[in-house]
Formats: sequence, structure tokens, C-alpha cells
Amino acid sequence: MCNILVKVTLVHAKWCHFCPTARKTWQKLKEEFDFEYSEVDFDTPEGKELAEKFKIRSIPTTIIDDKIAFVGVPDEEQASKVVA
Amino acid sequence: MHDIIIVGGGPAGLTAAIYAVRYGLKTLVLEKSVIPGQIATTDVVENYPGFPTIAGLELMDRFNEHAANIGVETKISEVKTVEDNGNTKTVFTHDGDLEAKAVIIATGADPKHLGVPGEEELIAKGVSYCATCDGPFFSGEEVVVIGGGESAITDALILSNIASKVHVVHRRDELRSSKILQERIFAKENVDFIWDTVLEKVIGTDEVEQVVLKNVKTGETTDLKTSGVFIYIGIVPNTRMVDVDKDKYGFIISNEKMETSSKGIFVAGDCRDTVLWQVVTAVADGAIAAVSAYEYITGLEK
Repeated sequence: MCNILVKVTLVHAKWCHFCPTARKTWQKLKEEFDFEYSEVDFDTPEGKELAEKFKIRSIPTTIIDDKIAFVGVPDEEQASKVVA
Repeated sequence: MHDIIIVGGGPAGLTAAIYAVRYGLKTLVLEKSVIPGQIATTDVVENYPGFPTIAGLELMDRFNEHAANIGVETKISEVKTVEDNGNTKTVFTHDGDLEAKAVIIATGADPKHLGVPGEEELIAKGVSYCATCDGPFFSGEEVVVIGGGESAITDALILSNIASKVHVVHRRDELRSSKILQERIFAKENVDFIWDTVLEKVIGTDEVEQVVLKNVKTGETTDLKTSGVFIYIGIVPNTRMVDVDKDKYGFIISNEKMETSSKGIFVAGDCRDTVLWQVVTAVADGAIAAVSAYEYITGLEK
């Protein structure tokens, strides 16, 4: 049986001052748990596409398995439950 | 054990730390964010002496650099509670417990929510409290700013450069912000003002679609189509982690030495009951709190 990994995408930007904390939270969890993780800069074509698709109005936004899971800095405890 | 633990690494906390280190105290700053301080969300700071104009984020970077260069130790950790055990204080964090002889609470504040229907449900879906953070998502759209103080007008100016139209909704018939900001906002062609009016409701399903406004003099309500609502009606202090005397809003009550109702626990910055919450007052609070803590610790050792 193969395990399907949870896919976590963090949308961030250079001008967003909450984003470094969100990145640090996910990067720390990535060291503890096995999940797919990627970071997308809002100011790239891919970022704009995600913003439009998910109607993002605030960052950092975390998309998990094609749904917005967290807006703002994710609570570490809650986030760990999703990827554990 | 540390001599002093400072909870919060914004302008107040870092200034306290700089003073404490210079006084030879074993000092630790605990901060939950990688980039702390409400000021980091401010586009431009123009009222901090020595810096005619500087980005909030850059000013915060400079505080961090100054503190690091002088040997201030900072740890990214969220504080759950601060307990007063007499001559020692215990700081409970998510990463373990720490002890210190004195604690300075410099936890700052967050923007206050209005509490109208639709507001909480539509946060991050068009409801925002920070134009620097969320403004770029409203390029070419119509937005509403609630409030008439310094923060409201500062952010209305930011939004006027991004949005097609900014409606400033204020409950009085004149702005409270500084004259210099008033002159700038009145000169903006894409900004209009809805006076004597408050926000009654935010409407939308997946995102903000419109707001209901109420004129406080006539009682008349009107609907206004918009995709963004930026709210600036004051601040809420982050003081739940400590049990000291506070005012009815949660701001920590202190004397001129920044002493709280618990001996050895001091306060500085935006979480303090004061008359002006600015970077310049936060850093002054931090300096006084550190010197008072030094005197307190020295007194313990006698």
C-alpha cells in the first residue's frame, strides 16, 4: 500500500512581514513530518494564478490539498495535526 | 537563570534589551514572530526623530541589528504565561519554562476588530486591518477604509496608490489624524469621505461584496459595493499571558517607572496603559523599564 503525501503550498511575498514566520513554521514541520512542501511567491505568474484560483486576499496563505487551510501565520499545533 | 526576560521583540522590547545588556544584565528576549513589531507593518514612518522618512520594516531591521550587535540574545518562542513567584518569575513558553529575576512585558498590541456582522467571517476574504499586508490584492478595485485617525489615513494613502477608489468612512465630521496626513489625503483625487458614518455590516459569501453603512446623525443606512474593507479603530493589547492590574481594555497599568502591580514585572510599549502609542514612546518606555528592572534586581542582591 502506498501512502499519499499531504501537499502543502505556502503563498508568500517579499513585502509581507508575516510571511517569514509562516515559512519558518512550515520549514520546521517539514523537518519533523513527511509531506510535500512548496513555497510560491505571490509576485510570480504561478503566484498570481494561485491567488486568482483560490481568491486569495491576504498572505501568507497555506493551501493544503487544493483547499485554503490557513490564512496568516499557521498555528504550529494545528498545522502539525494536518501533516502528521 | 536570566536576570531579565523581555517578552516581545518590538521597539519597546529591543530598547529595553539594549539598555539591560549595557547595564550588564543577563538578558533574553522572547518573540513569537520572525519579524516583530506592529511598526513593521507600517509603510513609512515619518515621526521618529533622526529618520525623516523610513519604511517601518527597515526601522525594525535597524533595531534588530543594533540589538544583535550589542549582544542581545533573542529567541523565537511564544510565551503562554508569566508567573510571579516572588523573587523569581517563571515564563512558560511552547518550548519549555524559563526563570528570571525580573520580566518586562513588551508584547504590543493588535488591531481592534469592530465586531459587526460579517466582519469575522470575511477576514482575509476582503476584510483587513493592514494595507501594507493586503493592499496589493486590491489593485484597480474599490475599497473602504473605516476610521479617521493616524493609522486609517496612513493606510488610506497607501490604498489610494493601489485601488481605483478609496472611500474613507468616519464616525465624526472631521479627521483626527495629523494635519500633514490630512493635507495629503485631501489632495488625492480617488479618495472620498463619508462623514458621520459607521460600518453596520459586511456582506459577501466567498468574499466581500458590499458594506452597509449608517449615518449616526440621521440614522439612514446605505449600501456600498466594495471588494475590500480596511478597519482602523484602535488597538487591543496582548496582555492575557500575565496577571497584573489592567484597565478595562486590557492595557497594563503602570507608574512612571514602568512598574506594574507585581514587583519585578515591568511593562513597556503598546501594551501599556498610556496616552500615546508610538515608536518614540515605546522606546522611551523600554529604556525606563530596563533601568527600573536593573534597580529592582540590584535591590534583590543587597
